[in-house]
Amino acid sequence: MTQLNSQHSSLRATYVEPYSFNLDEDDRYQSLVENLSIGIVVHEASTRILFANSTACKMLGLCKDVVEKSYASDPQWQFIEEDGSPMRLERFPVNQVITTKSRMPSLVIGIQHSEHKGTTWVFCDAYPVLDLNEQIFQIIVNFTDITERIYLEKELIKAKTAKSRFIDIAAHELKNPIASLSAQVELTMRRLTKGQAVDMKTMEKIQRQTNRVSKLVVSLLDVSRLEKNTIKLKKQKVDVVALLQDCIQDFQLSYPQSQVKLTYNETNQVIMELDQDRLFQVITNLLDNANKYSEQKPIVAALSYDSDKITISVSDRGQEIPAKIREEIFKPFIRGDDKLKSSTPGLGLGLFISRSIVELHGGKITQSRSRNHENIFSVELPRGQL
Amino acid sequence: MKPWIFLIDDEADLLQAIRDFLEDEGFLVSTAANGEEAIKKLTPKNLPDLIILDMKMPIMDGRSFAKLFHEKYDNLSPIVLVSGDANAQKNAQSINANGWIEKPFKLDELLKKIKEFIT
Repeated sequence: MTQLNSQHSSLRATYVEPYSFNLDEDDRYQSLVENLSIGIVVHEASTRILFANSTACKMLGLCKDVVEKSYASDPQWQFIEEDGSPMRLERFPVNQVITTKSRMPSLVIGIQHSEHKGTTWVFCDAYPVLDLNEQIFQIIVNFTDITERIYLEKELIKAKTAKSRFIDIAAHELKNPIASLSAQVELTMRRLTKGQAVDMKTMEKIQRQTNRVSKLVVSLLDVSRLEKNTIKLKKQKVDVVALLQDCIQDFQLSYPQSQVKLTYNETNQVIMELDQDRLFQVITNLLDNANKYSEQKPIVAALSYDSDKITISVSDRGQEIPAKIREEIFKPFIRGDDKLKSSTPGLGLGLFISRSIVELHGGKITQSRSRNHENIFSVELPRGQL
Repeated sequence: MKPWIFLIDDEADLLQAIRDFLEDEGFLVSTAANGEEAIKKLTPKNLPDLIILDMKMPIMDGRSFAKLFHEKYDNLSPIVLVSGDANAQKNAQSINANGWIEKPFKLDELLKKIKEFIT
C-alpha cells in the first residue's frame, strides 16, 4: 500500500485493467485496489485527497479527477450521522484521525451528494500513516457500502412496529366480542340462579359474538397461512351469479338495514372453476367494507364478463379513499385514514386476505373512484378452461 | 328515585347486556350508540348521575364526546371510560374522565365502579 500511495500521481493516469498475473507488480496492486468492493481514500496531512479507488468515487458520487483534488470538507458531498443529522467537520473520519493520531473507532456515515437524491450509507474505518518523526504523513480511510443493510434494518423496524401495532389492534378487536360474551353469559347465569327464564334472543346474541371471535381468529390464521404459502384452493365448478346472490342474502341476514343491489346482464349461468368458499369470503369482505364505510348509503354489486375474464365489482357511496393509500389498504395491518382507524372495527386484514385469494386464482383486485363518487372494488378473474 | 346511568357504546349486544344487568340492579338506564347520539339526548335539565363511555365508536368517539360534554356541562355528570385499549387509564386521564374500567370486565366490577360515584 505504501508503494501505491507514494506513486499516486502516476496511478491516476493509468488505465485500469482487470486483475491479471500478466501485469507488473504496481499495476497488479492498482488493479487489486481498484477492483475491491471497499472504498479506499488516501488523504495527505492537509486532508487533500491523494488517491481514491473507483469504489470510493462511486460512493462519493464523483468522478476520480474531481475526488482526487478535493479536501475532506469538500462541499460537493455532505456526511450525515446515523441519526440523520449533519456531521460536524471535527467528526469527519480524517479529522478524527488527525486529532487523535490513532485509528478511529468504526463509524456509520451517510453520504449525501448534491446530484443524488438518496443517501449512501457506509461503514467507515480510518487510520494514520506516520512518518519517522511520528507526524501524520497520510490518512487512509476505507468504507464499505451498507446502504442495503441499513434499508433492510429500517424495513425490519417498520415491520416490527406494524406487527406490534397489529397485536394491539387484534387484542382490542377480540376484547369487544369477548366483553359482550362475558357480560351476556354472566347475566344469563345470574338470571338462571334467580330462577328466571333465558330467552332465545340471548342465546342468539351469544352465538353472534362467538361467531365474531371465530371470524377474527380465522382471519389471523389465514394471514399466517398466506405468509407461509400454505393456503390450498379447493376449486370446483361454480355458478358465479348464484354465488353472488348467496353472498348478498347472507350479508343481508347479518345487516338487515343495509341496501344491496346486484346487477348483471347475463341471464344464463356464469360457470367458473373457483374455490367457492374462498370467493364467498372475498365478496363478503368487500360487502362488509362497503357497509362499514358507506354511511348507510346503497351498495351495488355488479357482475360483467367477456370471453377472457369476469369482473365482480362492489361499489359504495362512502367517503373517498385517498388515491395515495389505494395500494396501501391491500397491505396487512393497514386501515384507511386515522379517523376511520379509530372508529371502525376490524383487524385491517380483510383486503390483504382478499387480494391474496384473488391472486391465487390468477386474478387481480383493484380499487378506484367513479365519476359518480363511488368507491369501486373490482375483482377480475380469468375464465380459463372448464 | 332511581339513579340514572347513561351508557354510550357501539357494541349493541354489550350495551343491552349491561342495560339489563343495571336495570336488574335497580338503576334507570339510557343508551346511545355513539357520542353524537348521546349529546343530542342530553340537555342541561336532563343530565344523568353517571355516564359510562366507550372510547372507540363511529361518528363521534369517546374523546370527542367527553370534550364536547365538558364544554357544555362542565363536570355535572361524572364519566367512567370503558376501554379495550391497553392504555385505558392514560386515555381516561387524557379526556378528564373520573374513572375507568378495562374490557372485558365482570359485571360485579362494573357495579363496584358505579358505586364509587353513586351511593
